[in-house]
Amino acid sequence: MTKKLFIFLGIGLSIFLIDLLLNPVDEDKTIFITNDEVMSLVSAWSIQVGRDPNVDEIRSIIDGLVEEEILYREALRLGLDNEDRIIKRRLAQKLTFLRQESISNDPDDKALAAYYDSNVDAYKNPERFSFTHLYFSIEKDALERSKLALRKIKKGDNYSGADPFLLGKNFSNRSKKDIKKDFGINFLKAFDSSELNTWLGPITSSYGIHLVKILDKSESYLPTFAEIRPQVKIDYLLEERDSQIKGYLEELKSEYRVVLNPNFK
Amino acid sequence: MRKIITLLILGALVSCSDTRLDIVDHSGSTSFSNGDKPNFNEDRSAFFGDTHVHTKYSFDAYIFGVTASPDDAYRYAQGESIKHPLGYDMQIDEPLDFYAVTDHGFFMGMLNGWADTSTYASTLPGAKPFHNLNRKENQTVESAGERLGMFQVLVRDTLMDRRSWWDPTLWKAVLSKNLSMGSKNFDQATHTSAWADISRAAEEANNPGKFTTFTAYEFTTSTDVENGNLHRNVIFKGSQIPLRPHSRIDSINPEDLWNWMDNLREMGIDSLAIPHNSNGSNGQMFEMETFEGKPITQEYAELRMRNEPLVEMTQVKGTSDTHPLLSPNDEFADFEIYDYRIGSVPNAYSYPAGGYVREAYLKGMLLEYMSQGNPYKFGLIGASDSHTGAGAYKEDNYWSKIGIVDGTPQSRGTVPLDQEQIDLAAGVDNPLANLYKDEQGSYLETGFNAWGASGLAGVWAEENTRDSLFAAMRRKETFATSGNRMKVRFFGGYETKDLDLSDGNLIKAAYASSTTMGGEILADGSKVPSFLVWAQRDKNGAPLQRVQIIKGTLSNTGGDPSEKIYDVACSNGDAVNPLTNRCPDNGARVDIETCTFSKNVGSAELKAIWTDPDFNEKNRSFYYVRVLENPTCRWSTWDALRNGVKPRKDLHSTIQERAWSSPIWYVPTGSNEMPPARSLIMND
Repeated sequence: MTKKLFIFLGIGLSIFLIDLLLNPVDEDKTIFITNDEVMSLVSAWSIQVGRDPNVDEIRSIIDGLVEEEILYREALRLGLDNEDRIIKRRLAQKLTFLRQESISNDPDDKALAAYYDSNVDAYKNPERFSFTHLYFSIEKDALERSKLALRKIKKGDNYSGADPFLLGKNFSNRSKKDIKKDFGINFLKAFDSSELNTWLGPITSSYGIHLVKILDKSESYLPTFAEIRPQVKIDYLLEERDSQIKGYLEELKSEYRVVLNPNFK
Repeated sequence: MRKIITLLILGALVSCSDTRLDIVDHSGSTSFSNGDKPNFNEDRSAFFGDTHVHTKYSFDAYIFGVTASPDDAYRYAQGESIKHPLGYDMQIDEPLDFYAVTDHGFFMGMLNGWADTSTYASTLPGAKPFHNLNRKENQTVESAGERLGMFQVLVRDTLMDRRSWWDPTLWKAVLSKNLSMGSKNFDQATHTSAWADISRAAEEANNPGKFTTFTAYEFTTSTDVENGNLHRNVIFKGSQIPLRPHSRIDSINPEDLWNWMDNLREMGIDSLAIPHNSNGSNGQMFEMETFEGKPITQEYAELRMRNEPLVEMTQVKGTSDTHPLLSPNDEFADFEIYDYRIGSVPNAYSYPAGGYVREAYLKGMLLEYMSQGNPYKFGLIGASDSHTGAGAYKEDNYWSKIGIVDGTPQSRGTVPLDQEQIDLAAGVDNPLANLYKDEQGSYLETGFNAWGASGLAGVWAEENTRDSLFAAMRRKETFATSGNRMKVRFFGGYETKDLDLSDGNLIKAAYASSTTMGGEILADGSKVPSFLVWAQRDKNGAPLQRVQIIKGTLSNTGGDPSEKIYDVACSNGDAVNPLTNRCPDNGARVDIETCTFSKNVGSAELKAIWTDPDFNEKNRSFYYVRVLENPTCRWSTWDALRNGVKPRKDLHSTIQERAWSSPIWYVPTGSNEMPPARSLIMND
């Protein structure tokens, strides 16, 4: 009887020892609080309240930290994190933020130049015109007056009979888009000619008749990489941020096998 | 347990700072101009834009099916087409120069959170009916009835479903002055991330010299009992904005909004607020006393004018120039009048006095006469208030404003319903589903047919940048249009009469010698001021019919407030009749069978120098310009024409598009030394 009892106790003891061996005291009930953790909470408190916390308040900050940690660990122990969409989403978000932050904020010139080369169309500046015009209000025999004016000007005479125009007489550095906005699409015809310092017209707009003299034209041009490096950098970083996540996901996806319920409709 | 509650309350105390004053800088993502020089014009150019557009982040837009984001809205303004919730394309005829997304501040972004079932916000009480509301197959006209019902339930019940007193979040809400958090249905993180996304989109689309955006929102407040509309849009000048917007849940009193804006300004964050739909305020936008019923003071007037230099006087939900009952002698006053209180169901009448800008200018001068300051010395702009991300400004390119419920001619009440739709309407328990019958059939009588294809903001600025446009809005060098792009210049002063209308440098000379719109002329003995008006047609619109100066005046005893309208330039060189102050009929007509209009009548531009024949140097006065186009078809006529029916007889079939300048004020000398009328009465 005693022997049986000893065997029983022996088995019990060995189960306990094996259990201890396999599951060492992993339920460590110690909460270590680092100085950094406390200090960051204290400084957050100070920023929000506008003064430093006193001893009692620091104690309650620490109490709060401790209790949060306890609740967190207990929740983990009960497996409350499993299948929680909010937690899943938050973790996924954290990882994407991490990947985004892993991009260097200071990419080297080589990468930027390559990006610039493959996106030159987006950086092209439109051609721009500086011009002056004579305006003939539609209500006052505009066509006749404009023709007369053109004849006079071409002969080298002065002409002062044109009407003032609400938007002014001289325009500098306007793209075709700007010109269309102010004068309408028909007016753009004058700018098909590349003759400088010649009076062109008559040209009709919604406002009347115009004679146009193009004073200067800057060709459409592509600013060099050096000129617009800051903008290229921002565009590069924005795109890099998106492609980083995409590439990372693609990489991971290849390691996963996705199984859908075949009966899913 | 008690310890936890203590802790939670402590936690609440810890975070009790006012998050409306926490500043976030979004400037990092601004796109740079690629070395392409913007046009700088020292004589100032007219830029057209819209400072009032809603997207999916507005609670009502989302309920009405809108899924367009702020990014979509900015793409639309620059000329790309985006989708209406009912699936068709919306595209502007000509890109705009500037644009500001102004979603409702209160519950901003919350509806999106409730609808997205993968979010925490969707687990909040009250969120369930909104789950997956805007899924593709629910984006139909048939869902309109349900959506209208939801809107009312939401506004009446859900939004202020207060947490219980023992809920620590309620205490946190109270202590951090963030009352939205006190609602069971509210999630702070969802809200602030929507606001941050709005600002990010604005920063990314802002392109100095070419296209300007502003981070902005709508402060959607109203009077307590009568539900008078007191909405205003808050426009931030720069990239630094508060962590969260001040909303009607923080306070329904606009003075608290202005004080908050003042606080931000002291911190270097400049903004201005633009009230709108005073026509739907039940006469409470421009009152003779404050929101709390106290007398208006000099301080109040300064506070209001510092923060509200402009008023949005025309938009889809009506135009607030004047009401026919307030201006019985103005034959052009009956223009896009919508005299219902905003958001009322069924439509409740909005009392006109106190709701229209012309009368407000008179009231402001009277208050100033009584030494109470002038809180109504504001300039004018127009905007759309579109809720689809895309403003509909043109009569022939119109989709109304709020999405699924007004996205078809039938739902707007301009084309009769078919039998199926009549049956559907009969099943909807809502006053908005009432029917109107004429010999052509039954129409929905929603009130949407009284809305208009309006309006736009015109700003005279040196260049198309935030700084330049914002400065122009501050100095009120702005004008409003009913959606078209006519341009109007307005100058006044004692030397203005010497300007030469045929001078090629007229504008430069006018800036040098005169004050421009938004400014004032101070009395100088018995000198008489003159005015220069110069208007140019919309190159894609109808020709101009006439230009008028509208004058309001108050006698030097503070009495006889009156208005008078002078035609100052007529089309085709016609002369103004000096007895009636009116131009002769220029004969322009519209054929409402085809919507074609007389093309050879009317002017491309009109200009004049004008001196007030009734001027009295002792009387306070204001002067503003109204430019009228020849008549064209109204959008409701276009709707009917395109659907092969006749236009409804009870709606205006034509419209005279127009522009209004900001006023120039004339201020008599010594006016502030006059004894206030109030104390005179008391001494008696």
